[in-house]
Amino acid sequence: MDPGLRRDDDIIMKLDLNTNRQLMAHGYQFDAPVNASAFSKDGAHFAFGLGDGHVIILKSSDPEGERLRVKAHAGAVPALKAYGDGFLSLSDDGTLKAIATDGTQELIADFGGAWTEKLAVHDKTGAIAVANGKNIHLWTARGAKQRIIGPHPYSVNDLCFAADGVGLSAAHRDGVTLWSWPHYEPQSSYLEWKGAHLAITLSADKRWIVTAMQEGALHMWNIALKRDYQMRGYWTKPTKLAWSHDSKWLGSSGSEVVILWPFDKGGPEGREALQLGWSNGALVSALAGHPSAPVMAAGFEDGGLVLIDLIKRKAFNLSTPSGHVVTTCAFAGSGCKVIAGVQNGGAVFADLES
Amino acid sequence: MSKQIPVTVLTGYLGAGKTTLLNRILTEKHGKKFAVIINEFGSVGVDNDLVVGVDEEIFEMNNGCICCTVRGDLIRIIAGLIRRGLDKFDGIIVETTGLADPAPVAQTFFADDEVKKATRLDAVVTVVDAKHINQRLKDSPEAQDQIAFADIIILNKMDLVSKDEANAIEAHIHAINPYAVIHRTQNSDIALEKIWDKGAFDLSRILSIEPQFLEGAHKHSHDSEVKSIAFTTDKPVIMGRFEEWIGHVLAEQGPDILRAKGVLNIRNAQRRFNFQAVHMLADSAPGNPWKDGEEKSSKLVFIGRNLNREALEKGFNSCLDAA
Repeated sequence: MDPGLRRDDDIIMKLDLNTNRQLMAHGYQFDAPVNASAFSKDGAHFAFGLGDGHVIILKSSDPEGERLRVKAHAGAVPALKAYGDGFLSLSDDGTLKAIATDGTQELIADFGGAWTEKLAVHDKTGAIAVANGKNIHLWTARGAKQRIIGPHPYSVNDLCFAADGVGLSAAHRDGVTLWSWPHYEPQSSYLEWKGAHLAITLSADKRWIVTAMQEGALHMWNIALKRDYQMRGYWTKPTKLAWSHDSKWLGSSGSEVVILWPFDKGGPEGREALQLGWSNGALVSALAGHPSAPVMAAGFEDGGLVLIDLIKRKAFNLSTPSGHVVTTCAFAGSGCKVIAGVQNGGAVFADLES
Repeated sequence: MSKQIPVTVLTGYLGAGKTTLLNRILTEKHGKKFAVIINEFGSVGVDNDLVVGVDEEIFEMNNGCICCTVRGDLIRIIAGLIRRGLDKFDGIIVETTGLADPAPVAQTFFADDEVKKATRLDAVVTVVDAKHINQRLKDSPEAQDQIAFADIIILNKMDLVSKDEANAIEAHIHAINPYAVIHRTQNSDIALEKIWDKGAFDLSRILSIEPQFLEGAHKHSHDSEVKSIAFTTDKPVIMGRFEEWIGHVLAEQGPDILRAKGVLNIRNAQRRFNFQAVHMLADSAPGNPWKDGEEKSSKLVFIGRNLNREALEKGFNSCLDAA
C-alpha cells in the first residue's frame, strides 16, 4: 500500500504516535485492482477478489506463506463473502462460484453473461441472494433450490437479508421492496421515496431500513413507527455502510470523515452524528465494523486506513496514505485481524493482537 | 492521480449507420481497446474490446436547486470498469438508442462524482441519414435533439443524395447547431481519429465557433423546433454579472436549453473563459491566454427551444462593459 513499504515483507506499522503501539502487518501487491475482501468464517483464511477475476487465498497463521491464486471468473469480483467453510464469489461476468479454502471451485449459478455485482448471504440459514437486473435470484437456505423473485420496478441496486434470514430488502430507483417468506411463498411490500437508492442495510432489531442515495443522503425508515427521514448533507453518495457490533452505531461514507448515526434508544432522529476518522481530507471509500468489539475500520481515497474506537471516540491511523483508493476492508469474525485492499492491487493484513 | 478516460457518446436513428460505425470501431486494427456500452442484454468480449449490454435506466437527481436526469446504468457500469482497471481501456463508447434523448447521457458525466473523477466526456457523435434527415427533422423532436447535442455529425449515405441536397442539409444542421463539425460519409466510413479524443467537452480544448455559421437562425421556425442563438461581441464581459445572469437563465429555462457554449473575453483577464452547459448543469474553466495584440472577442451560443433572442441579447448585453 505505501510505496515506502517493501513488498511482501513483514511490516511494522505504528498505530499512531500517541499510543506508540506497534503492529505486525503484511503488505501484498497483486496484478489487478482489489475489489473485495473477506475472512473465512473461522478466521483461519482470508481472501481478496481481484479485478482480473482471480481470488487469492492466504492463511491467517502464515500470512507470508503460500497463497492460492484461483482463476475464478472472466470479469471482476465485486463481491466476496464467507460461506460455509470457504467463500462465495460473484463476478460481473454473470457467474457465482463457491471457492473452498484449498482453492477448489464450484459453479453455483450462471446468469448468462448478466452484469451481476450484488451478493447477500445469511450465515445461519445459508441463504444466498444475487441481484440480476430487475430480479433477484434467491436460495432460501443451504442446499435450497434457486428461485427468482421479482420483477422489481427498476434494476436492483443492492440487497440485504433480514436479521433472521427469512426475508430481504432490495434497494432500487424510487424506493425499497421488502420480501419475506415465512410460509415459503415470498411476499413483497413496497416503501416509496423518489430517487436512486444505491445501497441498503437493515438494523439487527428489525426496526430500521437505511438506504444510501445518489444525491448524498441517507434515507431511513422506522418500520414500527411508520416514519421515514432523509439525512442530507453528505458530500457525495454515502454507499459504504457498516454497523458496529452491537448495532448501536451505523457508519457511513460520503464524506471526508466517517459519519456515525446512533441507533440505540429511539434512533437517530434529532440527534447528532459522530464524525470520526480522517485522512488529509480524502473521502471515505471503505468501511467495516468489527463483529464483536466496538471498533470500525475505514479506508480512504488517498490510501489511508484508520481504526476507530467507538468507546473512546478516537481514530488511529494504520498506514501512510499511498495515493490509491482503499476499495475494501474486512475484520475476521474470530479475532482482531483486519485486511484491506487497494485499487492499484495493493493489500494489507494486520493482526491487531500481536 | 490517474488520467481520465475519454468517453464518446454515439447517437443516431436506427438505420442511419450507427451500428455500422460501431462495428468498424470494434473490428478495425487501430490498436485501441474500447469498452463499448450498448442497449442490448448480455455482455460479450469481441477480440480486444469489451462490449457490455445495459438496461437503460434514467432517474432524476435533485441536488438543491439543480435538477437533472442521469443514466443510473451508466454510473453502475463505469464503476464496474474502474473495478476491472480503467487503464486497460483507451476509451469508452456509449451507444444510445435511436429515439434517445442525449441529455441524460451527457449529464451523467457532469453529475456523478465517481464518474467525473475517472472519465471525461469527449464528444457526442451523431450519425445522420442524409436521405431521410429532412423528413425526420420535420416530424421528430428527438432527431432535432440529437443534432443539437452533437459535437460531430456523421452525414452518412452520401451515395443517396446529390451535392446540392447535401449542402442544403448541412445548412439546415448548422441552423440548429452552429459548431458541430460535419463529416460526409458513405457506409459510415470515417477514420477513428476524426471522431475519437476530440476534446469537445474539454473546456481547455473547446472548439471555437466558426463565424459564418453564427447567423443561421431559421426565419420560419416553429416554437417546437430547436434553434440556435449566437452572440458575438468585442466588448469585455464582466464576470460577476455574467455568472449571475447565466445562472438565472439556466435555472429558469434549463429544460428548454439543450446546450450552451461560450468562449468569453472577460474584462481584465489574461485568459479566455470557456463555458458550457447541458440543460441546468454548467461547467467552466480558464481557456487559452490571449496573445499580445490579439483581437479579443466573445462568442456565446444557445441551442434549444422557445428561446427568446431579444431577452437573451438584452441579458447578455447587461453583462458587458459598455465603456
